[in-house]
Amino acid sequence: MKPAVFDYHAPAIVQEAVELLQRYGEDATVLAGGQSLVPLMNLRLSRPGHVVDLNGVPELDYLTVDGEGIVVGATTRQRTLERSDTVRDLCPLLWRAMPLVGHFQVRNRGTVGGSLAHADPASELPAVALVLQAEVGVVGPTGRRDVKAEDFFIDAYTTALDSAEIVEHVRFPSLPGGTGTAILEVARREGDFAMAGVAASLTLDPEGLCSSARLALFGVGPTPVRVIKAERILEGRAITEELVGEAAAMAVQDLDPSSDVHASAAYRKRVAGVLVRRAIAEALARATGEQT
Amino acid sequence: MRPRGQSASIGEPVKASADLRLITGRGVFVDDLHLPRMVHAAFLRSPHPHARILGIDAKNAATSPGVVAIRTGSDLNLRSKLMQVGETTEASAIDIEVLPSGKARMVGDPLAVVVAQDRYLAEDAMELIDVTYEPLSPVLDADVARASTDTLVHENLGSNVFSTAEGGYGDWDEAVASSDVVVRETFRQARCSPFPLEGRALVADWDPADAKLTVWSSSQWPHMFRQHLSDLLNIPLDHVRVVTQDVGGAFGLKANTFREDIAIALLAVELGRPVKWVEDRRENLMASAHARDHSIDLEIALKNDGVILGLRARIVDDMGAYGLYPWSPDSWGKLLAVSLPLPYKVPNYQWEVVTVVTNKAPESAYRAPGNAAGAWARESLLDIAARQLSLDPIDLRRRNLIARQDLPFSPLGGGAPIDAVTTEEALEQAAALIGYDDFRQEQQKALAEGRYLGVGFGIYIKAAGRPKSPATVGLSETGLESATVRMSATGAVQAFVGACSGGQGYETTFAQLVADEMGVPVDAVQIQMGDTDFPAESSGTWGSRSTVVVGATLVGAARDVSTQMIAVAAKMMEAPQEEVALEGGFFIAERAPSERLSVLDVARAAWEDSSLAPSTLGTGLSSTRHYEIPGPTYSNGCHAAVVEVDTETGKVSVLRYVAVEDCGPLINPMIANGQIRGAIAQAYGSVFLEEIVYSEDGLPLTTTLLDYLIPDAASMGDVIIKHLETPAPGSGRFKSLGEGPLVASAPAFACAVADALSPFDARLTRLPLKPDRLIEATGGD
Ligand SMILES: Cc1cc2nc3c(=O)[nH]c(=O)nc-3n(C[C@H](O)[C@H](O)[C@H](O)COP(=O)(O)OP(=O)(O)OC[C@H]3O[C@@H](n4cnc5c(N)ncnc54)[C@H](O)[C@@H]3O)c2cc1C
Repeated sequence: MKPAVFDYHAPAIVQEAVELLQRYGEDATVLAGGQSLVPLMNLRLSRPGHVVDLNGVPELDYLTVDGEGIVVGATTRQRTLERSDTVRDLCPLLWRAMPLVGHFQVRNRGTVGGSLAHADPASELPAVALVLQAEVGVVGPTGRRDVKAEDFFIDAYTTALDSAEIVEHVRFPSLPGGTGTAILEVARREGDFAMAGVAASLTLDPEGLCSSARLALFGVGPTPVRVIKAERILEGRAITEELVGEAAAMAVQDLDPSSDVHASAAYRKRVAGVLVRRAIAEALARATGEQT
Repeated sequence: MRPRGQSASIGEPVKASADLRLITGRGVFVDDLHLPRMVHAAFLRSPHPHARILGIDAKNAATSPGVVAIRTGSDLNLRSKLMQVGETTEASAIDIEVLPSGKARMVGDPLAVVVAQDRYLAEDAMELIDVTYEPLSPVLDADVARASTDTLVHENLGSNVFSTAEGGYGDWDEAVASSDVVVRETFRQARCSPFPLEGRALVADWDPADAKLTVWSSSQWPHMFRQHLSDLLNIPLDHVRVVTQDVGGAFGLKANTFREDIAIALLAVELGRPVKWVEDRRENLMASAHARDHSIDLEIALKNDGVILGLRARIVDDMGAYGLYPWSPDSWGKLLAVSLPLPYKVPNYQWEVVTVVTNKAPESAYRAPGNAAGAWARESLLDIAARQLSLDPIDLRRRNLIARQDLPFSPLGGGAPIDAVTTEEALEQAAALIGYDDFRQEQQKALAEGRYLGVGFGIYIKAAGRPKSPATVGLSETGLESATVRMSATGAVQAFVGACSGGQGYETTFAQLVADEMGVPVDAVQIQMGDTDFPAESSGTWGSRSTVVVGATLVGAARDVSTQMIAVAAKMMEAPQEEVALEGGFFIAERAPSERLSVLDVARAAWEDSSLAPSTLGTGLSSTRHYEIPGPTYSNGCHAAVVEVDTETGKVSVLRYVAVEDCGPLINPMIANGQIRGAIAQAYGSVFLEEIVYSEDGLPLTTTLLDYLIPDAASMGDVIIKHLETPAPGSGRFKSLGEGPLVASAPAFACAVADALSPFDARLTRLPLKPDRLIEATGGD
């Protein structure tokens, strides 16, 4: 479990990082927190000839409030979000997701940009990005572009990034008043990747009807999935237990998860439905202020 | 000297002396050893579970940067004796080559070894070795392997059945005939890993001038390892030295001598340079060894009132591809069989163990081998029987336990009488502490709210320090131990011990024993262990033996040195020996109490003034003793757990956990409780998390910690620990603790889950109890 030979580069600014990536093309890989990349390199499943380390690029490490939300630099540690009152107040779903990402030791190193770029199917952050309709700020040889979360995750471990592009930041909009959120998952142990999980947000109008529902499942397919058909069941209605059951059934109807050593496909599908039901109930309780 | 029994440190939570060093990262494990001119090895391993090796071409690899040597089986095998395992009457032997040359029999079989300037370069070169394989179909399932005649793992065995053994006592058929009910179930343990945090590791160095081989190893039995190196490599015993430094856990895995050990030693001899090999986690999970791949078909015959009349066990043990030197591969299945009835009075017992060869990694002992696996099956079956007979599961156990009035109890299967156990007290106290009396009400109330609570109990009796162990051959002397205690000229006491610590805290507990016996402070005692050049011999640290065996030996030697010191002090003070005593660190003669001599005064004088010699045979203050207590000690315990199962997600929460243990007088409660907590964590792992999985075509799927889940700190909740401290009969007093708690813990967890899911009539016969299996057992998908 020792990596194959590689050259190590430590750029000081984003521009330099992009140039290195352009120069070495497919043979180069970005290193952020290293929590996913380094094990893969040690197993020689990933064998980049050039490693471009972003940890020495200070301009990527920040957290700011911006109009209707927060903007997080790509190398900002997961732990920074977890400990931030700003994130708690403006983006509670993001804040709630953090403790579910590995263990605190992992979050001390793991980055927000890394979680999105790595696009692990069982990862929490991509699902949260979908629910919050985040925008991923990308920089590459031809300049900058913003990619909507819904367009960012293409397949397992595959994103819309080109080989010479890096994630520069991600913008998480805040949700309107009257919104409650929840994120639930089942994992073998605390800190493990989810066997199934769901991130949810519900917004109630002044009459108590659901004006907007967003549900994204993770760990049950190659990418996180927004289940719009299930959201539609809830929107415009007063949310009852029966309705929640209907939405949960709809949410998992088209799922086709896979089996692995941790859980069978059937289990994943079944438990995803349970989690959707519970997450809607929890988000609702928060939207109505019954629960904090 | 201090009157015996009036201890100063025994029973106190003396801080473990190694803690500061280990916690601050100053431990010295094998990988921390850096010798001049040292080179690093990596093993090329078979990617096929079963394949003929048609050729190994290392030409390209040989010119890779930094490569020192590349060797295959054809280079090494003739330079070592074959590692033969299995000499019991039922079994034929398997001859294990250093590196297999004809066939690979498991994924991970080591086919070549690369030695290079560093491990990175060794792995780079390894990728360039070209092996031509002819893949053969593998056998992976013990039942399939048993029946197979065309796919043989070892052709010389003539079948894939390594051995079939039978035993027991009484008359099972008679028991069935007189019984009211026979309950039967087949329990499937998960193949799991002994998983020490530090895997296998060694540095071997050959000194051509002295013709001496020194091996620094992460071993749990340095003296046995020395013997094996000497035997297999044909080097005289006095030219082999094995040293262990800090050992990062062992759990049975390191009481084996591996092919890789021999290969590294051979390379050190050949190259004349120190060679280091530290297995990585993938090698550890894939190719070191696994454990507990047992299927246990258990039948119990009872009367309606719950009295057990008989037990029958049919065990199939999947030993993997080889077995491990020097154990007979059927040892662990047989140990399971003979330990099954243990805490209960079972008048008739019949067992059969079929040990089967498959294309998987070999089977190792793993903490409480046999006992731990069997206890889960037995206690689960008792609960099933209790449900079927509508008896309270605790009552059923009460009715059958080896109880106080049965002591000393002669096990019907033979062996030393069981004495000084407190099974009933342990059970009653565990039941009280877990709140059993009110639990059924609590359970009913929860059920009414749709919550599923359950309680489970696990009970054990475990022998330790037995002179002969029943299921092993050759090196069965768990009683082989000698230790030397010496008072040095500096006033420090050095105690040389053969057993070595893999995290058990011997530096502290042994020092307490010596200190109290000699009346000196604990920190005046230095425990020296883990070097075969020390004046101590041992069969190692395994089978819960060390405290019982080493403890008794050390105490005897320490007592001798005390007596020698009194003799010297008496001479110095010109007083009769009977009138000299050690008090508060000073020797005082009755008739002139103001003339005192310090321990240091006496120690120095004894070493420097030959006229003060305590005996005509020698001058120093030193004694070597052997373990001389004839029989084993028996520890016992009872664990109880209350769990809640979320029947929608299969998630299990442990709400309460109680461990009542009787390991005799506690030497150090802090260290004892650490052993218990560690055992509970391992049991939790085996019940809920750990499973080595092979794909249908024989590829191991659990070769990283992403796939093979071990319990971590976050998995563990609070544990209430209660000690009964019944001394062992005879002079030893202390009993064992290393393995017993594991034996009781797994059934407590598993039976609690089964109890919680009893409204579903859930059959939980396969470990680990993963969420998907629990959902399936409740009738979900
Ligand atoms: C024990 C353990 C448990 C874990 N549990 C979870 C969990 O439950 N949930 C979860 O979501 N994650 C989990 N992780 C993964 C962890 O969150 C990783 O940190 C994360 O997935 C990747 O972030 P990183 O900063 O470490 O990226 P790295 O490992 O450095 O990189 C990962 C990949 O992303 C690319 N990359 C990184 N940053 C950028 C960027 N700015 N632009 C473009 N590409 C980039 C790299 O090139 C690489 O391909 C766990 C990890 C461990 C070790």
